[in-house]
Amino acid sequence: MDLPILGDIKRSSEKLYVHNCLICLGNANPQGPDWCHTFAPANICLVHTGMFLSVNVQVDIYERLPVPFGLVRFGVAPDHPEVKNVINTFTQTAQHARCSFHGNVRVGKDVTVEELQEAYHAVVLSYGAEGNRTMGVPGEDLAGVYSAKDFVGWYNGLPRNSELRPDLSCETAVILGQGNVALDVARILLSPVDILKKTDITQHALDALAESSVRRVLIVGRRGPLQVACTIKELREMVNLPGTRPEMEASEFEGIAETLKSLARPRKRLTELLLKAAIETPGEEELERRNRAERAWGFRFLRKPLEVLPSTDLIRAAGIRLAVNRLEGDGEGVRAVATGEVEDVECGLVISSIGYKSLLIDPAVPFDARKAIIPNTMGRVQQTAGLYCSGWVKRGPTGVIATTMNDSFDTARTLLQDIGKGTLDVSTVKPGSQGVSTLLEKRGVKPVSFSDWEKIDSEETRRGEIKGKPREKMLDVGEMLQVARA
Amino acid sequence: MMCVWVALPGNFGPFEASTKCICTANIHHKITTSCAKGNSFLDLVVDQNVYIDGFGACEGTLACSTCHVILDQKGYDQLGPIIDEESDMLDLAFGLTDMSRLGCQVCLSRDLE
Repeated sequence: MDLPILGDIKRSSEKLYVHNCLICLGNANPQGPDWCHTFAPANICLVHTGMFLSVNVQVDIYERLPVPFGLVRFGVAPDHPEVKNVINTFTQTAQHARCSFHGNVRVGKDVTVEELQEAYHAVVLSYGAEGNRTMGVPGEDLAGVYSAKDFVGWYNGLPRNSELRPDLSCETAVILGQGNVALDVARILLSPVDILKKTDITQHALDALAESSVRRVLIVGRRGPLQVACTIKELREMVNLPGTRPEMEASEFEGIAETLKSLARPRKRLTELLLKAAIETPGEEELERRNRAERAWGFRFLRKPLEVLPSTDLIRAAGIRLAVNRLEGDGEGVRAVATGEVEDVECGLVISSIGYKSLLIDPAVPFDARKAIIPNTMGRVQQTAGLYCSGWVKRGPTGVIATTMNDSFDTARTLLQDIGKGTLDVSTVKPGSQGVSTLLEKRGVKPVSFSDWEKIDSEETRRGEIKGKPREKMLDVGEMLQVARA
Repeated sequence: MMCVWVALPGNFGPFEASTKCICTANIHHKITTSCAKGNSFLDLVVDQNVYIDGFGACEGTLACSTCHVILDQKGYDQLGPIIDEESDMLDLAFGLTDMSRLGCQVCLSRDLE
């Protein structure tokens, strides 16, 4: 798609064009959907610059790993390749003449945020949420207990999770949390291997899943059916998952059908589908399909983890103790309250999918530890001129690609407004990536360029083709660097 | 002329499109287009290089809601039935209305004049 900016730049070069305005977008971290909002601001900056300003904007992107795209590469499930099409848009942005990618650079370690601020007129932090919320219960450290973040990282080839080696030799897996990540994990655990083997799932995950004994997955939430955080597409995929049947307790859905007419469309359609899967008597064909199914999945509601129960040798998880809740309040204010009752569920695999959490990457950056976000007003980091943020590190770790993309557009607009109004001073000449390169060289850090990434990309694609997969991801940073420098 | 209001990601506000003419709230760009029968609205936007931030991120595969369009009654009524998969993604669109569809599923044909 040809960006109209190119025409506008030609026009603007006839106007009084002042100088190069360099913006740098900091540290696209793999645990955040950074490429949507690193690139969206890059995109919008590149597009809007010509339209609104008579300055040229150069956008440099710093990323810790040698490979770009963040959660689009490491978070989106392998069996959702269409969602990854957005990589094509990002690639176009990255290949723009005034955009450059610098992989293998750790902001906060190889170069500080202060040093970036000295080199650039503006720095945008969009490093996402690399940590996760812990359950905070005894037994969380037993073998067989994983965060969804690490489990997803394992099957998606995130280098730091390549040695996870989850034990899939049990029959029942319990997932805490009922968002889309929880459903992704359930689906990957129960999908026929014949489907998975044609995706970009990592080979070691594929091999482990082929040997897996897991036959039953419970997806457990603190609150009720009307509070599930997943969206209908993911629920429909579970309902239609070959070789599986839904198994839920009708008693957990009492009173739900009566609420349908008062629900907004998205929640209404989601709840209708949930009720259909959970309690409706299936037709003949569906009944037959369910009887043949060897694997089962189901939601369990009003349950909160109290403790992971150990095996007799005290090494691994053998069960989970759950507090039984009831709901208080209504509408948005519905809360789960403990009843005092407790329930034990036998299981060998516990995956907590209760949310990601942003971390502090540089002490010079203001950080709200309670909310785990960078304090900001419309993307302007509080008390720090020239520093902006976007995406999960700005708003908290929820939302699909479209949500985060829109958020990045907002930050970019804020930044451009600041340039336009003169709030952001772009009058001094700044060294940009030249300044940062000097520092990195002194520190023995060699950045990976976008065309270096393209070598990694080709090699992964080549290795995948041999196996009938879109790509075989490299799991080792050292190997990525070798291929990048070849 | 089918009148289409596009609910843009990033809240640029509505813009009006038809098989004959497209203009945007921001750029005020009028283009007369002729579009091949059977092409979708997304195809039209791409082929004519109409730049809308983030439009069609998943490239028409029903994996996002960034090509959300709002039609007038006449246009909406003329379209074929909506499938579950489109409705599922539409549920996530910003500013969903009763006349909403996904642009990648709206096929323009001569009948829609």
